Amino acid sequence: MKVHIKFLATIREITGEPEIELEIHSGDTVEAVMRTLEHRYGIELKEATTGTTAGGIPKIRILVNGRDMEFLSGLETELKAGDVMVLIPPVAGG
Amino acid sequence: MPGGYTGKILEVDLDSGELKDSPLDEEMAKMYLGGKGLGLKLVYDEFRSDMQPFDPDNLLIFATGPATGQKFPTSGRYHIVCSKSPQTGTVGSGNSGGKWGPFLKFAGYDAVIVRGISKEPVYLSIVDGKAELVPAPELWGMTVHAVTDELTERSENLKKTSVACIGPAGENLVPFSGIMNDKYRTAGRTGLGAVMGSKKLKAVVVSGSQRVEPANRELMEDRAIESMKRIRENPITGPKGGLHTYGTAVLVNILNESGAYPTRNFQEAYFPDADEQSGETLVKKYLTGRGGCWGCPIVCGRKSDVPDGPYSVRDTEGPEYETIFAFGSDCGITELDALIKANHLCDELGLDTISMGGTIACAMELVEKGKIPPEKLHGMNLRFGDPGSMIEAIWRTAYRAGIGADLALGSRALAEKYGAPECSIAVKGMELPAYDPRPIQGIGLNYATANRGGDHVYGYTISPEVLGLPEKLDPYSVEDKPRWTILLQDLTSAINSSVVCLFTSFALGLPEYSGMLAAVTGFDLDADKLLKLGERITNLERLMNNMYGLDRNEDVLPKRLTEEPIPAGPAKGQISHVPEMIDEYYRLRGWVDGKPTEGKLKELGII
Repeated sequence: MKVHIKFLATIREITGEPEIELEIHSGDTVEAVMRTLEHRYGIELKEATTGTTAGGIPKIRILVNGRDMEFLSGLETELKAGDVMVLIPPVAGG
Repeated sequence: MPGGYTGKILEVDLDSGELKDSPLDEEMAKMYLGGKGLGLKLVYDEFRSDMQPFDPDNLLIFATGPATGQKFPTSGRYHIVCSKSPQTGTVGSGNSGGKWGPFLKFAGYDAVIVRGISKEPVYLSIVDGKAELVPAPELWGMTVHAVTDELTERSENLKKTSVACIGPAGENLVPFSGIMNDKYRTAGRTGLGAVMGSKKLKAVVVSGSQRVEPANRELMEDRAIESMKRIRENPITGPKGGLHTYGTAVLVNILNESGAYPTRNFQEAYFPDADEQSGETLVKKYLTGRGGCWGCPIVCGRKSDVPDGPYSVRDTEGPEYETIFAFGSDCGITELDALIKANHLCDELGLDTISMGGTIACAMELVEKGKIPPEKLHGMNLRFGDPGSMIEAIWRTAYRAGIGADLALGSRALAEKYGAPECSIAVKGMELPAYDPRPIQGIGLNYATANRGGDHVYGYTISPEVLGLPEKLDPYSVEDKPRWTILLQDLTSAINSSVVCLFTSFALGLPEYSGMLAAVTGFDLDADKLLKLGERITNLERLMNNMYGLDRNEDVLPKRLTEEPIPAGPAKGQISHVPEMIDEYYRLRGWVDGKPTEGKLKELGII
């Protein structure tokens, strides 16, 4: 089954593409998809999405169908066909 | 006089032409700091509950704060207040960056109070402590950029001169016209430009070299260095951070993917083509450079250029996120070049982009629903998704030409006139900003309760609810949102009275702000005392609105947002729960039915 992955801001600069469709297996979680993406885009993506910045801000926020995964099941959130996962680095505006 | 202040206020009477210096009241400075707080207190001291927006004694006050012009990051800002807004019927209020604020201080003043109505158009010149009113009939009718160039060229020191002015929209009393400074910076909201226009005051030119000493220079510089370090190391505000790289428009995709990007006059909350008008696309297609306000290390401003095509415009600035939403998704329009053009026109004509876009979106819905008949449009094809008609609507509004006379009413009166008040997406008559409150509960509460009407920056709960700063709150939940809304509203009152940029709050907190202000002024301030000061300012503004007759009946969202669930997209089915939160908000505030109690006002030292 397929899910949509969207990359915003500096994450998009690493992937070189704004969004992809990804084939996943039934029961795959956000964490599994992140491992697949790290394999596909390399160490630069891994470094940009792991841990926190100097100010203690998480380097990545992940939405699944519009909801921050922390309000779902975190990295254990299971994905299903047609789901949209969005990777957001620390940004803000107003 | 405490550090950070010149100790002088310039009073301008346009009826008599008299100019005089008044001393800044030290106790007032201690209680209300400067900027917004000082402006509100000066209005309160001459308050009249039957004030009308274009009465001569509707005060127009330009106010700096103790931080303005100091060597503290983002201290290039100032605040403008008027006694009564022509748009909302509340006290009017707006904040702006650029360099005008510090240059007023260098010209020798903490604030300027303007009263009266001039018989003929004038501008006010303040150069190194010398103020004069200059007849200027030849400037009346000029656009913002033209009059800014003209008055800058007349000055003796071009590089140290800054111009705040109105455009044709302010002259024509459009109730959502702004006061522009340095061409592209705007105190945009609540129709301050119309109040300035009613006074026949075209511009205020400031220039000077009078630096103001902080109370403790060494301590202030230490604290400035510490804050600068935090700002530079922060991934959002730092030199390679999100704000610098993408500008505020980086929010387009984030809000859209959250299902909270208002579309087609808030009828929807997801815009399929959002990426084409995003900050990422702006950088790729139209960005030519970046620019910042005086003393700002963040540099979030955009320089943009559309070299050809139907919406070509050369070497302009912007657009910001709010503007992209207002003329873009909210009008069902995708084309980013048209949005850049629309932004440029508003800067030239002196219009608030949020209210202009929201009013056009309202009109588009009224046309779609057959409420505005075709004969009223004189051939104009005012429909969602039509960039040409959107741009035409802007200049028509500024000049009240044809249907523009109706658009210049603002969405509330426009929708009422055509028998569909539900099509106005506004609070207290001010059109809502770029966050659909149905899936973001806190921002809805802020829209409903913000003293100046439908506002996002007086209590930016988007920060915790959408951006996860300083901690993540579930945007769908109402839990603890009244407390957060109050905290952010009072913090912002303090920031707007300091005056520094709200964007520093992504990296700094109350301890940094209070530490800096204590070093600049010498006042006994800490985090708690500064927050209390902010609460005092929020309550004073609320008190005056109450005296104008506003109460809980005006603290409401449009029915669309509390009764009509989002029809599609990531946040499908969500509605705003403001009615469930408002009583808890009042309880925590110490208010009854939207009014501070006598006990609360005494506790805060307001009465």
